[in-house]
Amino acid sequence: MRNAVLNEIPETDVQGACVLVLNDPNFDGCELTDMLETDGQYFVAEAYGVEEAEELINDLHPDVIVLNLFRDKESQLTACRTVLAKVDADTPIVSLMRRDDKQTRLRAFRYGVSEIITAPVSENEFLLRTQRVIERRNMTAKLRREQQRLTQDMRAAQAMQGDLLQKEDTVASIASARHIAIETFYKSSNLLGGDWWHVLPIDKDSVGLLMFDFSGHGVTSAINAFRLQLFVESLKDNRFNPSVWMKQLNKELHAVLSVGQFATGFYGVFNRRNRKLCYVNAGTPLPMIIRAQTGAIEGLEATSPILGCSSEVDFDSRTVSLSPNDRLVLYSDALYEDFVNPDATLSFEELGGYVCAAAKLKADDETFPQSLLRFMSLSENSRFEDDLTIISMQVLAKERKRNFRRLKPIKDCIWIAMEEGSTLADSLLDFISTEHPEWADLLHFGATLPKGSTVALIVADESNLKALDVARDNDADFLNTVLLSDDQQKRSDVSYMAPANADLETVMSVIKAANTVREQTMNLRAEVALRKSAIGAIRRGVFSIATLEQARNLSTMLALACPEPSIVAIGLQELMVNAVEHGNLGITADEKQDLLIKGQWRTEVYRRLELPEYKDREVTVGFRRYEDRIVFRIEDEGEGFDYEALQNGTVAGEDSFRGRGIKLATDLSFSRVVYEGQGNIVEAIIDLS
Amino acid sequence: MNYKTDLHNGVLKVKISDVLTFDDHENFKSVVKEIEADTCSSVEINVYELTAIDSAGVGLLLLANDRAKKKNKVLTVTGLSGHVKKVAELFKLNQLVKVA
Repeated sequence: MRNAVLNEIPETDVQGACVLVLNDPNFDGCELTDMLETDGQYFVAEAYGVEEAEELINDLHPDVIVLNLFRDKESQLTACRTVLAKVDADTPIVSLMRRDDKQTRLRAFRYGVSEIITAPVSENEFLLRTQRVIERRNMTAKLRREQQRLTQDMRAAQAMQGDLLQKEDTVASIASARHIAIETFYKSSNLLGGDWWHVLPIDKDSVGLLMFDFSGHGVTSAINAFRLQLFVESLKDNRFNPSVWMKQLNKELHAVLSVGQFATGFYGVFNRRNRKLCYVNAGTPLPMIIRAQTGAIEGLEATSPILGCSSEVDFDSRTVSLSPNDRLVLYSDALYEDFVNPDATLSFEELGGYVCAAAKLKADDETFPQSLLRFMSLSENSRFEDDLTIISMQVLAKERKRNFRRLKPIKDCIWIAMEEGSTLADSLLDFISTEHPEWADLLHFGATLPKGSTVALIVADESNLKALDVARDNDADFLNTVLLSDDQQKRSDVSYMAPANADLETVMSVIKAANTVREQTMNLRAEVALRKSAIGAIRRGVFSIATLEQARNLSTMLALACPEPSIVAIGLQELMVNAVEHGNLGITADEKQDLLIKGQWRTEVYRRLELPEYKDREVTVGFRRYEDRIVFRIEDEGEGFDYEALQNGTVAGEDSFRGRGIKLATDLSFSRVVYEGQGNIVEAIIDLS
Repeated sequence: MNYKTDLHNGVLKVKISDVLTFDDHENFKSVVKEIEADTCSSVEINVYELTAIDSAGVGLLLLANDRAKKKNKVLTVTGLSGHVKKVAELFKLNQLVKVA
């Protein structure tokens, strides 16, 4: 029964606790045991000596052990250590010690004794302090159980949150079908986080890339991330349109988020056909685009305010074009912000440096996010102050260079003779095979040409000048040569020239222009093949023309009076076209290349034909058949040109285009070409013998 | 986060310094209480001496703005500079709160 004093203390959950009292083996009888038994709350066990105590500890698993006074202090400390080694950390040890021995008390505490009661002690004090020790022990055990339950719950929630993120193979299959590669990294700062990303397949050509980061972190942010996922699933309309879609999402978030809660977000839709990325950036740290061709980094500025703060916000979108091997990098602020040491926060340029290095020097066996973490001296196991997400989306070149490295002869090929590592070559091959599938079978990439091939068009860079000669030796009936070089001396050697660092758009314009000219020539030949000669018997005649169409018609007609008419037609048309555009209409070589590349050549010719100073000009074409030769005499009303320079092989710059036409005519169609006067009269002769 | 308040010509001026992050949630409650309790019609939160702010910190500013609005007070954020200015620009804070 409890005594009167103790009765004033409310009983607690110590009822039934097991107390083991360990006495000196030389003692006989213990008043502490009597006190505890009299209190009536406990199950009391008594041991004399350490060995006996060890047995009882194993059998009873006591809630508290009371270490009674031993005869000498060293024996007591030894007993203390032995007992502590036998019990778990939660089992308290109460030790009775002498008041005048501070050093021993201190040592006992160091060993791990929970409570020291100095002797002599009153019964009430002993019982109360023992009770408090057991209460603390029970509370600690309860807290530990709660902690374990909470941890288990958090781990379950973490696993569920992990399930919200797509698996690597799911992302890979969505990405590869759209000619992109996506790599991701996510780590929460504690068990739960507020970052969420998703790759959304929209249709067979388009894919949506989403990344969100809720303000704060922990359970609140995690719950918001769960909500967000539900909204993303439910908002099925307007996924093509980031601007409209984000506005819808913002309304949903605004309705459920508390004041002060918000999300930053990025939604980009990439279309593999036009390689355009249309995006809304609502406060996501500047996403970066690494341009493969130049290594330059571009930041995608915020287009809208953060999500969830106001329901009436417009979300502007922007569009950016991506080329093969360009890489988009998204990341959360944990990658560059340092709140412990704000001065250590990385600037856009500093982070860009790491991103560039990570892209350039990525090892084959690592992903881009792994490479980036490595360059930033971080690892997947590093601790982050906030949730960290890194997403990389790289545009893949549809076809690899090796697919176009032909080994068998290829007729009328488009030969890309450029450096092995050229990203422009990648882009060209990819663009041509995607946008002009009719040319894909004609494409050839490499420094050499398969034996037996013929070349219709060659695009060469400075390191492949020899390929130009090879192409000339193996030309199809009409060869166009394009050189990427800044050396103007070489301009007269080729049909077209573009700067060494020309971009895809420029080179494609040149190729298209070259192809237009080639197609016209081919059509001319086809026309010649179809026509029957109407003037086969005519020995002489004089004709007058003013337009390109008339030049074309007359050249096919007169060619039919010659041997090998399809070849003569090409040369004849070149000379007549020269007379019309360079002679009568005063279009310079530079102007013609520019007009061809811009696709405005024909329009400009028509425009000039209407101008008062040109509209009455004519080209006179004379035809005369002799026994041994045929002579064409073409005379325009222009100012002529320095034909002697052409004949001496020193023609350059302005006259290179005209020179190309003349050279073609001489080489291909006629026995010889002779200029007269100021260069505005030309005679083309075909020997018949 | 540290803060000082000062009533000047009917404007409650709150000067915040150090950093404003998730950890300042509890501290910031007293700022909000002062904004709500004061009889002024305008509140100015000066963040010039704030060296860094995270998303939760921006959330606290939005919370203060909301509480001020509910008490018919106009809240203005002033003194944007350095890191705080960059974050404010990124989040387009000026479209959500009056910024001067």
